[in-house]
Amino acid sequence: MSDRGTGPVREERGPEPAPAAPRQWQTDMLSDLFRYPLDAGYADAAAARRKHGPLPAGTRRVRRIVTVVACLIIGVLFSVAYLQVVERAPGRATARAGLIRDIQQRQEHTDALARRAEALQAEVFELREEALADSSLGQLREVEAAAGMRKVTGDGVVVTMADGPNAAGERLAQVLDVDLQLVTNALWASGAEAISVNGQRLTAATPIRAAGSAIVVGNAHVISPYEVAAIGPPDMADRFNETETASVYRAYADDKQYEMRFDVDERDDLELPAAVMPRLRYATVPQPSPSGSPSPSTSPSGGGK
Amino acid sequence: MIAVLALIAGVVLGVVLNPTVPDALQPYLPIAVVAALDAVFGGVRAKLDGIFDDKQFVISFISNVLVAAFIVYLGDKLGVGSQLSIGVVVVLGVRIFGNVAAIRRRLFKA
Repeated sequence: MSDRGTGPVREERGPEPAPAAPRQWQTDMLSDLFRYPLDAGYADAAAARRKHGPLPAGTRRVRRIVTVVACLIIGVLFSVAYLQVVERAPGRATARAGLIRDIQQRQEHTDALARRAEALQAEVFELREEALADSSLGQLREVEAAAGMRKVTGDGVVVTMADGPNAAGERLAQVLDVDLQLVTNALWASGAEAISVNGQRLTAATPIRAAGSAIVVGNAHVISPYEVAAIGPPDMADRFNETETASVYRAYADDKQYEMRFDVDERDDLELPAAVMPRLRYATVPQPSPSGSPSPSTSPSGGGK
Repeated sequence: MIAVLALIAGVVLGVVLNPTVPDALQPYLPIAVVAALDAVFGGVRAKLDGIFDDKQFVISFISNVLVAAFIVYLGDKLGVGSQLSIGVVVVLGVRIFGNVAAIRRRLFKA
């Protein structure tokens, strides 16, 4: 080895230093590291061989075998490390796929439950129609249709709203819960008799609200594009188009900054599903009164609402 | 030559056997690879320089891996695991680079 280092502990050495001399640790370790990447032991061993002659053949053979074993181990280490890295990558993908599968399963479950609720509701209607007299039946149907508790068909308009193309980064380009609220309110004001948003029928008590970044209508998540379908009188489309809300959203649709989609189409034979029956808060199952005739009972506090 | 064959045989063996690494040892695997690479390139360079020594090679490999693993272990216990890992990788990386540069000079005279 040549003279090493610029450290304070300088060692006087000739151009061919005596390799057997004990190596000294010097303070300038980093520059040493950069200049002599090879382990100094190799040079020492070579010098020792020069000095004392080659090792006995037996020792050499044993050491060669140990080297081969070490190389074998290194090879195994490399491939194992590589396999570990490769193995861990699909682990993330499987977790993701599992989550997606979970979501789909839950969604199917929810759909099945919703279908079941619908079927049960239809059954309830049937049973009730059997039980009720004809005169009160017609009245009941009308009231139910107005309240959103009965499937209705008719002509009306469909207002389609969708997020703008750059909605992912630009919040202004997103359709928010407020937008749906304003549009449905404008539709009610224009004479709509029944409204649904993406197949979710609105009742007087159906909230349209934001849950995180999603919009929830009643109990269901709805995603863009939003189809607000309304059944109403023939002049409803014109009245809606004249409202402030419609002109504001039309401006948003044309604005380069938002590019929100906003279309109003007149459509015939719309079919709006019934809303899921809300939990009854005040009505209770009538108890047979002492006189024996069942009387509908509503609690006094709920009667006025 | 036989060492290179042993290295290749080791890689094949690892792929064929595909042993499962215990979770406790997994953090040390990458650093052990870097340490082993340092020993391998040091050995190749020494071979080309004509001063290869079996004992030195084996001892440098074992001590490199052990010291690197120990430093990572210590770093984990002290809460500076990633920083110390970087230190190990930098030092060994510098040595690997230097040795590869020397090998390159010797092989391509450039």
